Parts: sequence; C-alpha cells; structure tokens
Amino acid sequence: MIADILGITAVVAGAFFMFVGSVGLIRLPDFYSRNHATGKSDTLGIMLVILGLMLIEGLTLNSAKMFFALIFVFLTNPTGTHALANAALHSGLKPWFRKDKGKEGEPCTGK
Amino acid sequence: MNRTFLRNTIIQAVLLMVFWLILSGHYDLMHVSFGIFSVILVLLINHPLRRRLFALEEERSATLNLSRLLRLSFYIPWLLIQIAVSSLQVARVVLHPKCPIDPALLRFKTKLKNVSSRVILANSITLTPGTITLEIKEDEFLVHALMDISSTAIIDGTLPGQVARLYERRPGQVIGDVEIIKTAAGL
Amino acid sequence: MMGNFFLHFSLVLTVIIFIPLYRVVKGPTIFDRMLGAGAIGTKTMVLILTIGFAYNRLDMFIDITLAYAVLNFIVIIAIAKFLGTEKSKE
Repeated sequence: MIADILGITAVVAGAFFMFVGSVGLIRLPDFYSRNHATGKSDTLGIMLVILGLMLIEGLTLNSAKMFFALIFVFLTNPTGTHALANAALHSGLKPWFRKDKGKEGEPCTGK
Repeated sequence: MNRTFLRNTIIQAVLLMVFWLILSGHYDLMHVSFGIFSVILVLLINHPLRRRLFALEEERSATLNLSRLLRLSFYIPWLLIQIAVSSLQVARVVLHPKCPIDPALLRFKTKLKNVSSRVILANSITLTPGTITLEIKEDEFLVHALMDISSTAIIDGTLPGQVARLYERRPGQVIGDVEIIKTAAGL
Repeated sequence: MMGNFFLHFSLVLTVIIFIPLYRVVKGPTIFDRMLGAGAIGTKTMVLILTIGFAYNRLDMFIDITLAYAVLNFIVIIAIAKFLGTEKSKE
C-alpha cells in the first residue's frame, strides 16, 4: 500500500517534469536552449515514471527489465542530446545570446 | 592479446549472459544455449571496436576494482541529486512568465587522459545544472550554459572536485583555462 | 482502481506527447525538428509501458519498450551523424 502511494507520487512527479520538458521545447528561444529542456527535464521525468512503475510492480522479473530501461535512458538521453548539439554546431548553427545586457524583462522570442 | 584484455572480455561476457537471462526469463537448455550463442556472436562482432577502444585507454585506471566501485557509489548519488536540482531549475525557467535566461558559451581544457573519464565528464556536465556539452575536440570542451554562469557547477568548482575525487586527481587537473564567450563572433 | 489510474495517466501522457509535435512541424531548423522527434520517441517509450500496466500484459509490453528505446537511440545517433557531416543549414 505504501509502495503504491510512493509509486503514484513518483509517476505524477515524472509526468510533471515531462510536461516541463515539452513546454520548454516550445518556449525557449533557440536550439541550444531547447536542448537543456530535453536533456535534463525529460531524463528526470522518464526516470521518475519508470521508478514509480517499478515501485508499483514490486520485486519481479518485469521490475528488473524496467530497471534496465531506466539505466538505458539515464545513459542514452544525454548522449543523444549531445550528438544532436554537436551536429548543429558542426553545420554552423549559431547560438542565441541576449542582446541588451541587464534587461531581464525582455521576453525571449524565437529567433 | 594481453591478460587485461582477456579479463575484460570475460567480465563483459558474464554481464551479457546475465542480461540475456534476465531478459529471456526461460531457464531450460534450449534458451540458455541460444543465449551463449548470442553472447559469442556479439563479442565477435564487437571485437575490432573493443580492440580500438582498448588501445585508446592510455592510463590503465579504467579497470574495475574495489576502491573504484566504492568511489563510484559516492559519485552516483551526488549525480542523481544534481539531476533533480537541474530539472527543477529548468522547470523554474520554463514556467517563469518572463523566461529569465542568459545563454553563454564556455571553453576549457582538461588534463584527463583516458576516454572513459572524458565521457563521464561530458555526461556529468550535461546532467549538472545549467550546462550541456556541445563539443569535445582532443582535450578541449565547449559547453553551452543556459543562465547565470557564475552559479554553474563548472565555475564554482563542485563538478571538477567530484570528478577529481573519482579519478584520484587534484581539481585543477580536471578543468583549466576557462574562457567565456558571449557573442556569436567568438566561435 | 489501479487499472483506471493507468488508463487516465496514459491519456494525460498522450497530451504531453502531442506538445513537441508543434516543434516538429514548425521548427526553424532541421535540428529543432529532430529534437522534437527524439523527445516524442523517448516519451512514447513510457506510454507503451503505461499501456502495458493498464492492460495487465506487462510481460509483453516491457520487451517492446526496451526495443523501442534502443531503436530511438540508434535513429537519433544515425541522423545526428548524417547531419553533422553534411554542411547545410535547412
């Protein structure tokens, strides 16, 4: 019962971080900033969801397989992010910088 | 073919076999023999790549031993906490109505020699708050920082300290010559 | 009660998965599109897992999840490799 409650909490928290990753992919101004959203929030969100599902499932063979999926996401999601960012850098995509320094109020628009 | 390489091969074969046993879930003779066949096939296909990687490892510190596992067991919880902190930071930036970001690029050199340590450093940079790795060229790293660079783990010294502890080095040897780029012309 | 939770959760997850589709359709550069596609792929992995829970057939869906994760990673690496060698912007 306690494991169920903890699991559901972790799953809902993971869904929140996945939502943040998705919104960040739309709101942030340029490609390199969007990489932050997918590389961090999505990794944590997916890890939390799988961890919660493991807690609900209990100690079975399926749980061990889910643990493999968790390790796999933990290792490959940052690597995939890095590969895409590296490809963008090599093909000459320039990062976006804040134009007027010190003016925090400026909204970040794409391009 | 020296002895360290042979030992690494045996460790990898055992790990692959355990992986197969967990994934298959059947423990009769036929499925296990399929597993042994697949392990041998994977090792044969990977053999040229593993020889190359083995030759690249100049320092032989990458082999597993007990003290290394102990230090890794301190490093991984720290990294998990960092992931949580950085995700909360990204969440704050994304859900903030004014979107307070100030991107910058950092370029620095590392004195870490072997390949696996650089991979660990790069993945740790991606997962710690505010930074992702863009490029590794020999010993030069290019890093993109999302906001206020003074608070990132590279500048305030916690990340070099942790990686240095993992590899028994001084923090200054992990990261040096930090250069901050804030215009597109500096690339 | 638990199955109901997973059914509703997978509905919410579907909505979350639809958000990056905007970046795939709109994205100014090819890299933005690829990033959106990768984000959709990793989230779909979790969706498959949740559907497995909802239908009580986890033993089948977990294998699909693992295969999907590996496939998604290989696709991202391969396309990044291809785009990195080709000197073109959009």
